[in-house]
Amino acid sequence: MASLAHRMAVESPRVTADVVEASEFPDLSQQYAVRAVPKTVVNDRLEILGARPEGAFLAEVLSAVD
Amino acid sequence: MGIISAPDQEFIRQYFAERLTGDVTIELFTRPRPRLHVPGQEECLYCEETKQLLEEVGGLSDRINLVVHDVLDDPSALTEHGIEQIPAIVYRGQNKGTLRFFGIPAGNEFRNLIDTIVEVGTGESDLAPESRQALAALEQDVHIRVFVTPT
Repeated sequence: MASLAHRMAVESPRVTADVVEASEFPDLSQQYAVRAVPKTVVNDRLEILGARPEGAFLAEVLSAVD
Repeated sequence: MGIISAPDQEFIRQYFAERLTGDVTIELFTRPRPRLHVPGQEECLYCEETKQLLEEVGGLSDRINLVVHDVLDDPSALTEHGIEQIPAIVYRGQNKGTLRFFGIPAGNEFRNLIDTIVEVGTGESDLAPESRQALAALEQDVHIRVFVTPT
């Protein structure tokens, strides 16, 4: 998911992709209730748990801004 | 002693030589390890190691320019770039959006570091054409946070 998010940011000026090493930032991980990885949070409101293929991940991410 | 083994260095050097066709600036926001424990100051677990790792990677291609911001010397660097945690890595090249990594890019994430450098340098994401189309049509800002662990 990390590489997919970064690739999306390569393609669009609208995308900011932050990859966070969860164990180094316990406060932030707690704030986003990270209990397992990968966990993806889009615009602070949509959560995607686990891995997805490219098309499914993109569709879910874009659903957060529809 | 290096973090990246000699055979891996050689492999990555060759990989960059073949694929990295544009320049990449890697900005690292970090701070040196304090000589004394300062009460109230949060420890930066892997700041030193992240700097060493990026220096080693940066040495494997003339296309890579590593810029190190020492946030103890220059705290304003954090606010200027909207960075809230360190170590933080910001990639700049042919990318249209913003790519950042917080923490040390080790383990699985080391592979992503190498791939991201190439993608940012070339501006080619390797995404499917329909994905690229959908992203090009995007009209609202999207902030994606992906939480990972190194293994």
